[in-house]
Amino acid sequence: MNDDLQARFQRLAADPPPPTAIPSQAVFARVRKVRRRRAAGVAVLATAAVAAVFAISTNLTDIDSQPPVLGPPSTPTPAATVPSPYGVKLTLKPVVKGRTVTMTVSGSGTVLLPIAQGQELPPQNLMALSEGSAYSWGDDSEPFSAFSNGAECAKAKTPYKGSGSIPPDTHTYAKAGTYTYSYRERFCGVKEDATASVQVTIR
Amino acid sequence: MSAERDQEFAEFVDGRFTALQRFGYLLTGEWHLAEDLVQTALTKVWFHRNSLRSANALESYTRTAMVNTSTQWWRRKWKGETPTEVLPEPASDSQYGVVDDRDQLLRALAELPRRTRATLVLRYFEDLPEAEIAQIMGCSVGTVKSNISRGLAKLREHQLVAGITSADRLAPEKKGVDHE
Repeated sequence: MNDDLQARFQRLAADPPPPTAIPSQAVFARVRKVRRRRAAGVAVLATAAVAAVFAISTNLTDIDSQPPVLGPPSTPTPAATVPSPYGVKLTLKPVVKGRTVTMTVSGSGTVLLPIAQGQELPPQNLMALSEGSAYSWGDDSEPFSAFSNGAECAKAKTPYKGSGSIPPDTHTYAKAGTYTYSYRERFCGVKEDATASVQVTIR
Repeated sequence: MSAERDQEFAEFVDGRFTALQRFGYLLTGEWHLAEDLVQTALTKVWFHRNSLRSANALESYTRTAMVNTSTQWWRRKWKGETPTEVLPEPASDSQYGVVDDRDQLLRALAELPRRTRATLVLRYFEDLPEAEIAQIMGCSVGTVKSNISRGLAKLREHQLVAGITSADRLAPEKKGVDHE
């Protein structure tokens, strides 16, 4: 039965059309597009911040020329750090723009250098030494999870203390609310995965 | 280092694109969507490539991204479809038996929940062991077994599967929680 179903699947997917472009070029074109969009988002945020500072500094309405009392900032984007007792401390920095959040994940600590294809990896960006990660945006989008099988850690023996970060990831929430973004990263030599979470409020 | 990584990534993309496209086709049922799905997933993976090194991890990560992305697409874009009790009959005659066979399987797959469908494809097309499927799907092996069992039962309703082997049959106590 297994063979029969396998054969049916193979027949079904037997004739893929040629890709519309060279695959790697098409993917890199998308990567460039995403980067440009992210860069544009950062520029808009920076401009908004400058405009806000200017508005506050010139908005002196009190009789003593004191600035008005302001409420709490509307964009809840404080950096939230959850310490991990297992060797790596992760830091999450969300930046909220409208319903879109750009999350930067960075980490620092001590891990063992993994051994990939018989060679110990050189000291580098700490996050590039991980054995996989998982994250959830806290809404109904599918959580992401991918981990290697741990073979690269089996003979790891050299400790490395460092820090690093992962390129920012962006997510757009469907509706307003308070969401908990959670992140998990696995490293050689660290008994339990490093974890961090942060609340993101979308207005 | 970065240029090297980019080169490695490009080689992976060009080398594995067709295989991933086939996987994407079985997830989506349309070739152009499959190509879009692969490119979207690979773009996501590129931004996480610093977390990965081995080709195996890259491929596994990409498949996870494809499964999750296809599920998200279905939720966001295709919820507006109006379900019908009976699917329209295909127009082809019996002389196109192979086409019918493919069409029947495609229709049956379309009726499955997305993650059940992905589980079946990973198991019977990619021929992956349950433990690896669990890793890709981000769920327990018990859930994988449960999804396979339910998926096969649905395919059996379409007379696409004659029976199930003892290996596919679930012991009652092992039935996992379906995360659909």
